[in-house]
Amino acid sequence: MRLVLHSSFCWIVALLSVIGTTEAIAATVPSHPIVAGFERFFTASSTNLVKGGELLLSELRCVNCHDSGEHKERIPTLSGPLLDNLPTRLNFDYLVEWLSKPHASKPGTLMPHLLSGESEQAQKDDATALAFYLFSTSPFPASREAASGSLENGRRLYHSIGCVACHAPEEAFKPGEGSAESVPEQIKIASIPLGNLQRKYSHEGLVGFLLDPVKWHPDARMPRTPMSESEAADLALYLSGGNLGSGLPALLPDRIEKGRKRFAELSCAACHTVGGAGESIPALKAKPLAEINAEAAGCLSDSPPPRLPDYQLSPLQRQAIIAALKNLPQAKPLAAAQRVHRHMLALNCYACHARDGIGGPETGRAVYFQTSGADLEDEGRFPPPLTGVGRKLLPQAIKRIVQGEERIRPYMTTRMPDFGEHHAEQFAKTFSATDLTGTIKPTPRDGNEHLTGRSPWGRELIGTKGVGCIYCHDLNGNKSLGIRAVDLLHAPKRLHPEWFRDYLIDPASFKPGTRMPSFWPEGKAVHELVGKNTARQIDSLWVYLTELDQNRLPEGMEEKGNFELKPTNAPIVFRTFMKDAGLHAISVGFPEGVHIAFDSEQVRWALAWRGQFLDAEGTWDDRFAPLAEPLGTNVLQWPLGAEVGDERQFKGYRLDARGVPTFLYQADTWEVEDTVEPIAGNLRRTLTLRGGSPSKWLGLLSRHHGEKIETLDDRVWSAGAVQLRLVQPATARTAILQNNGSQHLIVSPEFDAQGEAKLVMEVRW
Amino acid sequence: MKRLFSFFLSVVATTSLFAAEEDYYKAVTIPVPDHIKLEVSGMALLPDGRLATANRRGEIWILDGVHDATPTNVTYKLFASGLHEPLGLAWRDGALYTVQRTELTRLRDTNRDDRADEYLTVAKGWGVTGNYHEYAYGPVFDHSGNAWLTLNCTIGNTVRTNDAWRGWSLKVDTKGNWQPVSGGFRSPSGIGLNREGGVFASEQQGNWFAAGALLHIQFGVFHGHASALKSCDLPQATFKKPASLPQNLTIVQAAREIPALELPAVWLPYRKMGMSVTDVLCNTNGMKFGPFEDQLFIGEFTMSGVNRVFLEKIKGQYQGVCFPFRKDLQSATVRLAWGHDGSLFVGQNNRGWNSLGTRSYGLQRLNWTGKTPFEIKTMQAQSDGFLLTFTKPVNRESAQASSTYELQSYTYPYHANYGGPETDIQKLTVNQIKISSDGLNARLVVEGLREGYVHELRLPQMKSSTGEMLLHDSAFYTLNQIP
Repeated sequence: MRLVLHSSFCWIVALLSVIGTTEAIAATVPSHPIVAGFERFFTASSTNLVKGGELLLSELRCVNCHDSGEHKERIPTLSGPLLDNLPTRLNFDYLVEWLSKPHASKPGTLMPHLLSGESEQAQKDDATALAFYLFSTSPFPASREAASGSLENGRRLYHSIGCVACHAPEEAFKPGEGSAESVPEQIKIASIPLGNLQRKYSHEGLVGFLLDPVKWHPDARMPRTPMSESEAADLALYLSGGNLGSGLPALLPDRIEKGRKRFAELSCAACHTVGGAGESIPALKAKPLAEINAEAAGCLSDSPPPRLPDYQLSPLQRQAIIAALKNLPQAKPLAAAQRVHRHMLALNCYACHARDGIGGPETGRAVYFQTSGADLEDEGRFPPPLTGVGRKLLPQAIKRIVQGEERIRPYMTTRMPDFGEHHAEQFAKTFSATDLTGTIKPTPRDGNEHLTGRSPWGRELIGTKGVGCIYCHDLNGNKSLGIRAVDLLHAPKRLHPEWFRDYLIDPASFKPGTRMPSFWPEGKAVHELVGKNTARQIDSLWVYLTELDQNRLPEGMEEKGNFELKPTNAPIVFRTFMKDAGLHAISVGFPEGVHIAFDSEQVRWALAWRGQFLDAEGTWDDRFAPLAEPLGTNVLQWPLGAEVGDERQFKGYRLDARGVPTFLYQADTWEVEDTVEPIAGNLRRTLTLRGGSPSKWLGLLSRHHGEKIETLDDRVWSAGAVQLRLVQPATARTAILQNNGSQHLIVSPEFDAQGEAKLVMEVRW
Repeated sequence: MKRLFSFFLSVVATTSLFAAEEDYYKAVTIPVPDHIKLEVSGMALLPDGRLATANRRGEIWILDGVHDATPTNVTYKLFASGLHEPLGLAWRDGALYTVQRTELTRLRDTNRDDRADEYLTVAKGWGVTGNYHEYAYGPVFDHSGNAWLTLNCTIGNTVRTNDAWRGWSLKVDTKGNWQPVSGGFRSPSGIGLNREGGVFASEQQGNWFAAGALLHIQFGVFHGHASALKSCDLPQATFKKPASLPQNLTIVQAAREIPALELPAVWLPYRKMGMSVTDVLCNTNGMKFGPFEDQLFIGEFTMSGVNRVFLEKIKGQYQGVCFPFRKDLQSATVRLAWGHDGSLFVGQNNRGWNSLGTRSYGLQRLNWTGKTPFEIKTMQAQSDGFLLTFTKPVNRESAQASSTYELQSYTYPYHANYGGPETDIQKLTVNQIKISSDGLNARLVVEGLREGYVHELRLPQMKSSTGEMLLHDSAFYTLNQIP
């Protein structure tokens, strides 16, 4: 076969394919077709194997050939992927390989082998002809786009945005550093196979697929996960190694015609439509479902006879399908709750969501569900359970959510995907029909308008003088005062008001394990407002949230304090986490407007600055304790390398009568007292040493990277912006030491009869 | 009209319900001036009767007048400031001690002006990564003068990598040498001794802890939270890292598989006993605080209350029972301390999390009114059941009826998930009941006791000989060992 290579990027392809990662992703895939819902919930001992069989009859497209007649709703037909635009998307060689041996090419695929009875050569010829035909129906691309993107980011995305809820994670990938699951569990439920993406897709084709899988495969179970084009490129690069494609064939008309013929004979059209020319090829019809003998013969035999599709069914799958066929005469239309369950099985919603005690992330995959909202714990990581969701959410909200339009939990790293309008509309109906049953007491909203809540009451309740929702919940984009739970802004657009009321009264009965307390325990109001009327209080919150954009923020959020520390009469000593002074920082603010920070871990002066001192908000008010930074200007970073002694141990500090701290530490054999305080807009440092070897030298100033300490006179030195004057003792010997591109100003302390040495110096900058 | 009537009924019922605890243990609110944000995080009674309080803002205030019957003239003196989130306070040998995020500090006023002028570092060096969750609690001094601290585990973003001993308890000797003792904590926000000097820490419901718990700190013990296992690789570690952590077992099964894992001495079932366990304080006041001598009082954050624990030692291990004690305080209980008159100071703040009540921080005092509530005073394990002791004689008819005793047992899952349901629940039947001649004891013979399980007892119908109902009708006994 003559291939025309369009690629002047051949070397890039070669380079990138080395790092193609599909193979790195744990790939012990069973050989039978993987239908996620079946894998997870059906075993040989299942009493409901009929349901599993019905799921397979639909998911494996059996009913595309075997008409399910009156059971269409139970066992719907599903299309296969569209075969449009293949030359742009796929590699020709892969397509031939795939059509000749789908199960070898992608173990676990749902596509049956249709050429199984033929000789090797015939298989290859047929597959090539089919591929020619399929490639002939769409235009060839002028050229293929070069791969671009970040492989590492693709890897991160793959393991965090939800891909691995269904697909296998890479074994070497270490998810969730610092998470509670330090010992991840084995994954037990078979993953949906990826196949060899590197051989299958062009980079452009894979990017296009990831951006909108539903476009290429309307009935696929792969939803559209919201992502940017550059994220899709990163993912594609990670998954396929950025393949440019194996080149495009020169199309031979007779082969194309043969392919078209085989396409019709093999009844490919039962599942696939061919795009491009918009051609319509009829599919053959097989025996209707109701007329099939429920036994291990035909497609259901161990090795199906030639010319029948070979699915490589597992014994359990065969058993389930036979059970479903046997049960068919008795099968009744599904009730709403069963429809919801079947629908969730088919779309594998259970991979992420639990409902009525089943499903939710399996233990081995839980670790890939992460949160950026520390403190929210499992409620921040795991997609919400869907038990009673139809009672909770308005139908129009369910529709928006299933279409991936409403991500109100930005802290969750997984992304709720878009399953398309058709599924969204169905879920909106079936969830509501199933869950909105029984008598639900109406809220005052309904017909008792004189009893409804009022926005000012709601404002009072939501704030710190009320029940204090904003301690934990964000509000209209404003940070909560503590943990960052879901923004309450969304409530009225999404929730049934009755659910809102009932949930507030008893959160745990709706969401077992939630840490939301009840502020109306047993329905009784604790707050005095509105005569302690629970219904009106809760309705007031509802009204306030509804009118949020026209209202003032609640108390506590509106009047966040000003936490600037202003030393006025005496120094302020303030310990905190501080940028460039470390996690053991002790900052000292002086009324003179010159401030310093001591690092009590390294036991060294770290910073000095002028102007405003510090803002304590990060330390006093922000739960997440961000690093403090000097508020002022002229920030001086004390040069490293001029600490006293090598081995230092911090001992604390003393305050003098004016409140100036003297830092105490052990440095080698010396006991050190170290005081820095302002003098005329600069700093004076006093060091007192006791009990050490008098002959030892002491570092005062350092400079690195070949830069020099300049001697200005015999008691004044400069190092960049810093000038140091040794005031006392006047007679001390000094020297400048050279060491590997660094310079150190050293001094020999003079000890008195009591074994005490005192050094005083001024630091200007 | 009918609606109006039922409305009144509910108001009456509500009032009497709230009044009941208040009748026995009255809450007196200590006024706080507007300019002081008294988010109490530590309390220590000084020998002169003044109360020192540390707060989340790193200040130590010394309060005078807090024991007054109506404390309207309380004075506040700022003793120290600038500390890094001190979460404990203790007075010993003329100095106050507190644990800051990075060190144990000794504070002294050497010139008698009521301001600390000496902030000396007693011990430091445990891992601090800059992660917000790395709270450090303590100190509590034991009977030999050692200081005990506990360190939260790290959750979320870090700035530095040194997380040595996060999730461990530390013991600091009188010379300032410290060593790790036990590991596997998540957020052990309260430390306390029992009468015999055993050291206990409280634990929050969360990952690896399906409910709140009281844990006995002992050398070589693993309490259950996995992130502490990182420090098992350090030479000073006191137990060996388990090769793997079994998940999806019950905690009782897990304790059999992991040699170092010790079950909590007492579980505090989630919601039933509150939602967030804080301080631990032993009642060493004799009868000054009512009939619960030598029992532990335990702070409850979210529900703004105080709970009660009775411990006993069975086969060399502490285990015991918890009871609700007092709720409806003004804010989250974080610290507990005894006043010199045997009243209980409750230091409060709800920073970061919300709590029931009307304030975000403050200080209250619980005074025993002298009236004895009708309560289950103790619940003790027997080889074939339990022995209940009441504070007042029971009504024999109600006490003899087996329908009076609703008993079930359950345990919890051991897993990395946050929290977890009560699992393997079984109802138990009381086969035999024997009431002592003074009516103060009920001896129950129970079928189906299970070791390691929480045994939840409810007595909604129990009456005293004078017809009173129990003030709190539930008890939760953690039966680690059947005697």
